[in-house]
Amino acid sequence: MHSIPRTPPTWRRYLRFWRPDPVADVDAELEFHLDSRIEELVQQGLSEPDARRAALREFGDYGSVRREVQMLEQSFERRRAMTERLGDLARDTRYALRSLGRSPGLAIVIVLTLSMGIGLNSTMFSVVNAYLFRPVKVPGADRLVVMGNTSPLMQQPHEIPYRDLQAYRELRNVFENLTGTVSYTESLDKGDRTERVWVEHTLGNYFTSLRPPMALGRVYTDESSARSERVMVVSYDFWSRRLGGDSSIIGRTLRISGGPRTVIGVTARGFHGFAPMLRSDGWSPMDESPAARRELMSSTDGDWFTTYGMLRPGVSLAQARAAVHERARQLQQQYPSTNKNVEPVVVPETRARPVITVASPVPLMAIVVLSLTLMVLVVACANVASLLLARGTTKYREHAVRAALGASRWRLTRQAMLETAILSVAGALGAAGLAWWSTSALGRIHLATDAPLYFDLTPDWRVFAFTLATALVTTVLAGLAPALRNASADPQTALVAGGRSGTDRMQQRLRSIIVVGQIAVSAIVVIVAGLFGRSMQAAEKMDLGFRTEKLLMAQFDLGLSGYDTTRARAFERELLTRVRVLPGVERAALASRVPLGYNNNAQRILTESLQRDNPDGELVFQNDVSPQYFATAGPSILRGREFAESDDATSPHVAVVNEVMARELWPNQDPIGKVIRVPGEKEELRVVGIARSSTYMMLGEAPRKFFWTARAQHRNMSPFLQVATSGPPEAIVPAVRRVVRDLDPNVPLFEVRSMTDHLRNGRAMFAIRLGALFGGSFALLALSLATVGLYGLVSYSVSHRTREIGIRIAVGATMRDVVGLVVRQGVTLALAGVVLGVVAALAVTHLMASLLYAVGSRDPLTFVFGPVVLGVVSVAASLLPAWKAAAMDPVRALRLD
Amino acid sequence: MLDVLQGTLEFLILRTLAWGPQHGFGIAKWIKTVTDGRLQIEDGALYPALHRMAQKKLVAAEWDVTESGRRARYYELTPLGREALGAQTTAWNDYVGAVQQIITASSRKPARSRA
Repeated sequence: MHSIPRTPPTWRRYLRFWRPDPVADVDAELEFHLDSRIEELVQQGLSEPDARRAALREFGDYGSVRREVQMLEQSFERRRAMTERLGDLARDTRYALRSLGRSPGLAIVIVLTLSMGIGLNSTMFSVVNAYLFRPVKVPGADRLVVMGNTSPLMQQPHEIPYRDLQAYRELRNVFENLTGTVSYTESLDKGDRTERVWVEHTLGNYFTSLRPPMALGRVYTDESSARSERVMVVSYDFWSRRLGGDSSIIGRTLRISGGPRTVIGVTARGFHGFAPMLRSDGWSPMDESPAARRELMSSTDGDWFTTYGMLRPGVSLAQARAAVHERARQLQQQYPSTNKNVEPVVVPETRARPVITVASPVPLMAIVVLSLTLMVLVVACANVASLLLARGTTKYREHAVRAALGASRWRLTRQAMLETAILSVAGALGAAGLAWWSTSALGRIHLATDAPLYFDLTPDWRVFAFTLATALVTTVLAGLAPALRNASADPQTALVAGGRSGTDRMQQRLRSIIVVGQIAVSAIVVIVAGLFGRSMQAAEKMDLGFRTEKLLMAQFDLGLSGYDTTRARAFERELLTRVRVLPGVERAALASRVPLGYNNNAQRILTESLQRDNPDGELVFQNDVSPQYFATAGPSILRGREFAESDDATSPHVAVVNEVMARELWPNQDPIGKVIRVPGEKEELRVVGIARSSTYMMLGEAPRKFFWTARAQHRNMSPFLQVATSGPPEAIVPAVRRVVRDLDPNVPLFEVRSMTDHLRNGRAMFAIRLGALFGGSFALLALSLATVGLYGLVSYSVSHRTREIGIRIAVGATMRDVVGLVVRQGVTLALAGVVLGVVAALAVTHLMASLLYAVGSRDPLTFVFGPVVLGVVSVAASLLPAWKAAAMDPVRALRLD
Repeated sequence: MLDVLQGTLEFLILRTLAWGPQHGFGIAKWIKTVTDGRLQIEDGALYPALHRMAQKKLVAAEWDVTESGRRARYYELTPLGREALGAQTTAWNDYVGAVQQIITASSRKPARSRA
């Protein structure tokens, strides 16, 4: 047998202990000196004690010398160890780079794979960061909270009426400040034309409470609103893009919504208000003069405010909540008619994005998305690990030699890890580039609305830290298996047997485990994506109860162009008449609001039955619509009639109610002819029709009460034109625009789009479509990565069984036998992976149930279809190498090696 | 008796080690012998100096066994130390010459230029 040592001799390990021990060495050295001198003196005839005394005297201060030398030695030792380590690291790095340079193709594939995996994670984290982590840029952002009310009318937290806001403002012991704002679209008169601007009407203390950064001028205060000053602070963007960016703007007066408003300040660049998605053009103080205030405090029917609070330093969220709930209880007792069962919520500003109403599922969504992307990364890492392992054979022998020559296992492992770390860092750099590009691309995806929405996804240090951490995880995930395998290199077998048998079997086993894991993880990703996809499908097919196909919507605002009610009514009548005769138009109508839009209105109403419970009535959501609305766009009329031209300002006021309202307010009675009263209004509404219940505010909402009134009998200036078409609705847009221009060239159209577009790309389905899109891309990515992994393993194993397969063919195995042999291996692995993945998915998908519409979290179709897709792909991945194997020439195969 | 000036000790050590490797005790003894004990050096002061020089790589230290069989730390000039010795010897010569000149100048009036 050969006499190569199996492992480095153990005594080498103890070499470390023979390293200089500075303390002991110094003692030995100094003692040697004293002893030698004493010996000398004794020889000269001194007694031993005398000699010692003399020696010590000659030596000087023994203690301090000893301390000084020891300190010198210790610091010297530390420095030497450090240089040694750095030297090792530099050597290892050079070595790793050289070794990677030997197979540049492999290195490039690995770096690209990692760039994709890490980049995907960085990108999605950028999104999550913008939604959940990045604070707004005002002092004390960590103390900024958002308040909302929940009520029986609307379970989701929503805006707060002025009276409640003022009550909570009194909670000075928990809130440093509390303020509120409402977004309005107003018109900016530019002389020759009017433009739409988004202005927030705020409490006077908005700027003094939240202290957003300012570029120019001053801000308004509580005094400004108390004096109902007509002033305005404009955003930097609005100032520079639409007002010319001239600093003489301060003090200038703009004509906004028909009245003068003096610009007093410009906010700093990048500040557009606190709503993370809406870009406000300006801010004005609301009217808080004594008279207006009395009005605001007396009812809750006016504007409801998005409410921001700055907690006092040191006040916890729990304390604030307790104080707010206490105050809410008092309000419930004080105003039972409006505040019954109204409960406020207080959340950190970062948990109220994009708006408090829809913020609650955001963290879960973030977790699901990040989990998916991390899983994709795991699959990518598995491929990298597999590639590194495959390269292993040569590497392995090299390690064995170095181990035999005495390199420590730790050193070898570290070296292998260093290679992976270099690859990961390169991958992270690529990822950063990718994330930079993709976040700017994602930032351009928009909701289908004309509102100035934006989403700033610019990576910050959190994204950077996340990317770094991901790269670190990657290093460990991808590098550990190959490194450990190499470190366990057994020189005897590796060198003697030429690195075949044992090595290969072990590598095969490791890679098989990796591939099974890869497929399992991909199965989870595919299933989750499938659930999102099915959910989107279900949402698109959902019967919303109103016309969704071949319906065009277009909004206009006659108020912006200075119309009074009479002129507006004439314009609207004429518009409808002309649009209705356009070719391709079936019907046309007007409505103040569109379902699943951005505006809702709740009206306080009273009926006989309501009055018994609550003398102030109940809030019910409502819409003002023109004749033919139901025929054009709306839900079908079940009983009675819809509005007609005869329902005008002079005739008795009428209403159409939905089924739920009919059933709840007039159970077992005929609602037709029943009376609805609106507190504070003279005219009663008489029910003339019952419409089918439909979806009004969000997909999947519980059926709710809803009613419609006739537009002609109420004042509303900014309606949506709704046009039912026989062909594609987009086709008639030019014709409609022409009609409007002919009527008045100064009336601009907004939000011109088909109902399908409004639903699919609007608020209703944007999130779920985005989820399905992301999920689908992740699934595709995971699937292709896993396929590559499986393909790689099967090909590798075929290449190493060449001789065996050659023999089989030589002794008469048919092509089918060989293909079967190879495919069986691939399919066995795939099956194991899929089963594992499905079991894991079954265990976790219920966690995302609340994100799905009309689809169970264990949707059978998804759980069958996903694995089938994986199975088919796996067979395909194994077939390719199988065919190659079957087609080989047995003679050449046998001569090989 | 003279106090040893800062830096002088280093020179003395370098000079001593020019004869060959020596341990601390040996160096102290040698200095005492050649100077007849005229330079007042505490033996202890030698050691911090030696260790500093080792860190500056002027000398190299190694444990070895003495003739009497005891383990002792031996110091040896490194090439760098040898170079330093040369440079310092020149500097010392210059210095001593200059001082000498001053002394002579004060006893004999017109200053004599040094050859």
